[in-house]
Amino acid sequence: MMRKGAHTTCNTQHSTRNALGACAVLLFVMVVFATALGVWQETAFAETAPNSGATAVESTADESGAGDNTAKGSSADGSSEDSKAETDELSDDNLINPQQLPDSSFIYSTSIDDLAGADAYFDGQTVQVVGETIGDKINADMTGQFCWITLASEDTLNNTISIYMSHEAAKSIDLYGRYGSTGTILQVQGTYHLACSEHEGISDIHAEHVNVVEKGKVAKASFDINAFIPGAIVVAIGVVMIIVYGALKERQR
Amino acid sequence: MWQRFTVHDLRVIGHYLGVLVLFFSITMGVALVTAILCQEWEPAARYFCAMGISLIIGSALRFLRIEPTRLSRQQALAVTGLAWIVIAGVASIPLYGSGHYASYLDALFDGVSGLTTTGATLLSDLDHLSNADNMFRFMIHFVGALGVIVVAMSLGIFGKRGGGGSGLFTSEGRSEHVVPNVVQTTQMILRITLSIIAVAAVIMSVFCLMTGMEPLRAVLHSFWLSTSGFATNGFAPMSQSIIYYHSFPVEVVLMVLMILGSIPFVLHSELFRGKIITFFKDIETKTMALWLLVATLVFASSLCTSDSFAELPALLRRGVFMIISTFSTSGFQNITSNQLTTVLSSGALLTLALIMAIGGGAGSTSGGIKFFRIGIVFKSIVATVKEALSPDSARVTVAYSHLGRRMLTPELVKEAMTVLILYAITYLLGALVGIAHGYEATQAIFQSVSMASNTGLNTGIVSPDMPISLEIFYIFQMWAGRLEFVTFLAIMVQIVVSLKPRKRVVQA
Repeated sequence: MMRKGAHTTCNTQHSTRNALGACAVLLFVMVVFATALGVWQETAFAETAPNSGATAVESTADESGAGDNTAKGSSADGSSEDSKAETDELSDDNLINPQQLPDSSFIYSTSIDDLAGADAYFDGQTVQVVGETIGDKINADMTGQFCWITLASEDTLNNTISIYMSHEAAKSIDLYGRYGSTGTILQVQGTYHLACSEHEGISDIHAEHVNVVEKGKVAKASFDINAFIPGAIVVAIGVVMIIVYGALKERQR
Repeated sequence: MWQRFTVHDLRVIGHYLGVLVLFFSITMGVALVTAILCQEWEPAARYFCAMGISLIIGSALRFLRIEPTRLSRQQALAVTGLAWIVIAGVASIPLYGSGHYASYLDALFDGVSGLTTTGATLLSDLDHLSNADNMFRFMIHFVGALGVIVVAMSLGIFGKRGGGGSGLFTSEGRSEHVVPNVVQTTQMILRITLSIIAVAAVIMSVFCLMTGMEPLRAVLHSFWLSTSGFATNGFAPMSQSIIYYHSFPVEVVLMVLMILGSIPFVLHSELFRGKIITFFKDIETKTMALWLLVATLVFASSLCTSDSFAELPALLRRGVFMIISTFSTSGFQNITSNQLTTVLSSGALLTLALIMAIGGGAGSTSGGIKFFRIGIVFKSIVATVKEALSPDSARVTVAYSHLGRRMLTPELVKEAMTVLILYAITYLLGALVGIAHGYEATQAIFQSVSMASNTGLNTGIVSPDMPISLEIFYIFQMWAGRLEFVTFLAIMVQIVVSLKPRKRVVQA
């Protein structure tokens, strides 16, 4: 016959196991629910095109890496032959897409810093921004058509904007900015939303034209043993001080 | 009569601060290992050096008193209070060396923000920060969330019996023992925290991988977000905060973590023991449920006046997340700082400020006034009304449920009211300081509450170009809020009294 204390211990352990089991089941259910909800949400709100008037234009950098932006795919107005003739006449230093025609709804000189403090004036406007791609390419839905790219301002380095673009357009990105690397500099033209109704209120740009301005660069420091010498000296001093303290403490006892 | 610090007091306090600084160098070791594994050689050299500096500072402080005596209550208060600012000062050394801060004061701001689990940051170009620096930032949050003293005691830094630990434990704002023994309590808190973070990190890694993130980044970001979520800190590895992940499942996991982080550890213990009824009957749980219901209704109504968030999907996704982020005083944002001031109405912004001001559960990782005190104040109102309606000879008692049935006492009410008033005064003072610096009133009020409640939501005031005087004031606000004022005020008074010259009695 078990003693009362052991019996109480058994009950406590049994209760603990029950509680842990309940928590695990609850967590599993929540995970399944979250996954299902996420899948439903992304398939339900998957877009066919970011803009009814134009398709996202895929842009590839040329072999010299000068940031040329030869546009592929059909343009919004269909004048592809005229555009080709114009492109042939322009110099290689021209980094601006000649197909980007200004109109009354087009705010030509916007920056990511401007959009970081944007108000309702900018909402729904066509904007053009230049920034560094950072982080990762985040899948926007399960269909594999669209993705999220984050562009960081080149000026202040603190402001960013989410760009909603096609995977095709994102192929022009050769490097994503993080520690040790500067990401591809992109020029993106698209519609800015202060609180996008298609994406549950997020601030974003639905890209219509994506061009590479500059390729990404890797700049990671290489291993240099000399850089560790100051650290080795101070660590050694610190360890000596600990040992001396221990010795003094023993002597006082 | 106010007691001064004696030289003996200062030496004992210095010794224990040195012990904590030495212990803190372990977090730098974690960052060093991360740097080596990720082949980030400049951060590796920097953290190696910072470890050495931390060892020297800690050892030098320990030399002030070779064989320390047991801590008195006065000394325990001083150690607890000063530990936060001293350790933040040491933590700022490698952060400042990263080159992402304009000045050492900015790095100190981040150190204090991380330790106090506020989460506001002055770091520039966060998206290019090394994995080692990010790991260090999140280690600071982990230590700060649990409490410097808690982590030190659970690792036996103060000896098996905790040394003067009981006084330190209470001084850190932890009044409840999960188990009778203080050291075992701290170990239980550490176990609960590590278990929850581990499970959440695994689940979130899966979701991050599904979004298309690289495996290493997915795992690291998941671990960091899990730590930050349960610590209700709000630091995120990307400048866009949670918006960056564009993932509803990630937001759901974070919401669960934030709710768990705002539940007192003592109630976690009850849940693990299977005492679910105790959890639901607790005064904090009932206050939390009622308060969140009211706050959600008000916030949802005010959001509906804005065209942008009036639609149900936006309302649910952005609104619910922000409410949970603010009540738990985490500070994660799935809307931008610009949207906080531009899209949300002033009513919605002030509702969020009020939610932050109240905060989460006492004895949890959350900040703010705490549900327990709000519940006690309302019980006190009930008692007052009962007394008014009862005859003079009647003895009125009011009970509340907290790990059993307890009676409301005048001392408990006095403590709750004192801290509530101190919080309110600090919120108001911070708002006035913000207004004096030329900021909009709504923004200044919101930011003041955010700092003092250790939430960290930013309307744009906290930035690398903010005024230095405001920056220093916010540092004190974060520090005072983490210590829940009483410890902070006690130290300030003792420092002032100690520095005041003694009165000389001139004999005729």
